[in-house]
Amino acid sequence: MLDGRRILVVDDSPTVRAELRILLGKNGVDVVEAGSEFGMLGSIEQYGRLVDLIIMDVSLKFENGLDLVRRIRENERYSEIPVMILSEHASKEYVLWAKELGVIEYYRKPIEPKPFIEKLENVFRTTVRGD
Amino acid sequence: MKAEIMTLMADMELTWDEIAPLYESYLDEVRENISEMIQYVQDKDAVRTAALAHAIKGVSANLRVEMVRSAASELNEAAKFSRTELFEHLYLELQHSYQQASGEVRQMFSDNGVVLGE
Repeated sequence: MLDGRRILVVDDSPTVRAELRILLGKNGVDVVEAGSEFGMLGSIEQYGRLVDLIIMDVSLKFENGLDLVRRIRENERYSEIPVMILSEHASKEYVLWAKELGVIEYYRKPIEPKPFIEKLENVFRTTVRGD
Repeated sequence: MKAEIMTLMADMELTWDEIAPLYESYLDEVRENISEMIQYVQDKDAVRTAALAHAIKGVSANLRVEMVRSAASELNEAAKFSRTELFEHLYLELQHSYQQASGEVRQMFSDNGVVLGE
């Protein structure tokens, strides 16, 4: 289900990015990483629609990940890329905001490897394009 | 802490060697965040103190380092409510927790034949 997918991970923690790189890599995912808005936009420019999914943290050190999702949605070239939130913040306000932005899944940290992979498989099974 | 880390290793299907880079990254990242935070604590900058405490809390939860997660959480709560009079004490607690956790993590890896880089 995940094999051969390309996922862009946007998180300002190099440790969380490394954890996801290892975890997703073991499941055959090609992981692209960004630690900031600048890095994210660079990766999106580079890979564009070849990115199957963006996994976005909300609490970037001095940025809000949902603001970055809004910027993705405003760019017609990339607005269709599915986004999954991975965050410790799961207030009603944030979940609602994410829903309004078309976020397809909101996973609450900490990452529990097996449930996280199952959730991701479900995301690809039900939502993300299968080509 | 050892049991939690071993559970994480089992869940990720990693050996001590394979998971070592994650903990090296963790120890570096938290040390840098704590070092950066001191200026915000001294300036009583609640927004930036909260942001860094939150970051430390999150990554510590992911790597199952409970003593640092808990100390960062207390500082994060104080910062969220602008309890600036608590900053210095909670910062020192966080620093102490990190030093203790760092020693325990390094020892744990060493006991299993892996030396973590400084």
